[in-house]
Amino acid sequence: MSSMQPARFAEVLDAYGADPRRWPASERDAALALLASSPAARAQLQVAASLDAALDAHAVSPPSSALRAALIAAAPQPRRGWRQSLAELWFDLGGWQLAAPAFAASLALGALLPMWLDERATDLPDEDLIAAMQLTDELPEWTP
Amino acid sequence: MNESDDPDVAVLARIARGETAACGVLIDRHLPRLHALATRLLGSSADADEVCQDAFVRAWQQAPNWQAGKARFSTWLHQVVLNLSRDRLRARRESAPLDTVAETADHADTPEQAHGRVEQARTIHRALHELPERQREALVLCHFQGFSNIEAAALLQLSVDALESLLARARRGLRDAVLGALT
Repeated sequence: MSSMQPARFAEVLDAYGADPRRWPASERDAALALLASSPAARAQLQVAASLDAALDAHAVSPPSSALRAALIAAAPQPRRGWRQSLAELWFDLGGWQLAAPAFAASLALGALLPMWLDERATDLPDEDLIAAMQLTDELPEWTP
Repeated sequence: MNESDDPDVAVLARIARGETAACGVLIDRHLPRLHALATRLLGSSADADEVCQDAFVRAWQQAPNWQAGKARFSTWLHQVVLNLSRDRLRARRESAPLDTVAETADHADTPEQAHGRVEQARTIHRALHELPERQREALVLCHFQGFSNIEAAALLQLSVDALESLLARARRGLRDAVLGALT
């Protein structure tokens, strides 16, 4: 470790203040060694420390929660896969709230429609059908 | 620098995959320091809000394309806030409003002590904003943001010697203004 001259120590304090954490890393050890051995250096340090203390009193307001919320709102939305897109379509269409009544309605229709058709059904062929069969039968009657 | 040196690389990869929760991690990790930087450079908390919003929009755009190994993402974010703040100052070119002096009075203070603390904060705030722009940038980066001389010089695109000269002039100006007013 090379030694530091008092003039350089004064320059370091002028630029970086009294906190060794702010001093240039390459010169920190030499500056601390000079500080340990020189009362004059310690006096200079006290002067620099008073300005540091005044600066440290300059607090600023922290960011608001509203700002954080705005940043989150502007953040990229998650990419959607086909499963998620399908799920979103399902919910857009009403989800179970719509599907349950629709399912019940289809069951009811399936049960009632055959009953309604049965009332109109008959075992006898329709008269028009019989007439048509008779008119279009061009084959000679076959008698065994 | 390799990937493991920058703790933000893994978070950026999660953002690129569409994990919104990772955006919250990045915000919580960097917003307080970036907001403090912009507030001290601009002298306005409201302007700092807008700068931070612009900066994070750029961060979201940058996340999928970020290449680890060139620089730390936090350094890049500081550079963005620095540039946006400079643009805003150039557009404004007027005295900064003193609306950002945080409530520094302690609850245990007497009314006189509380008043004294607020006045001290106002004095420092005013002195800081009377510094030339480059001196203020150097001081804010080194004293308040905790950057080393090498990191701050890189952000300001200066040599370390030039940075040191700016810092010394800034501190001399502040010493005269602040300590003179407080004694």
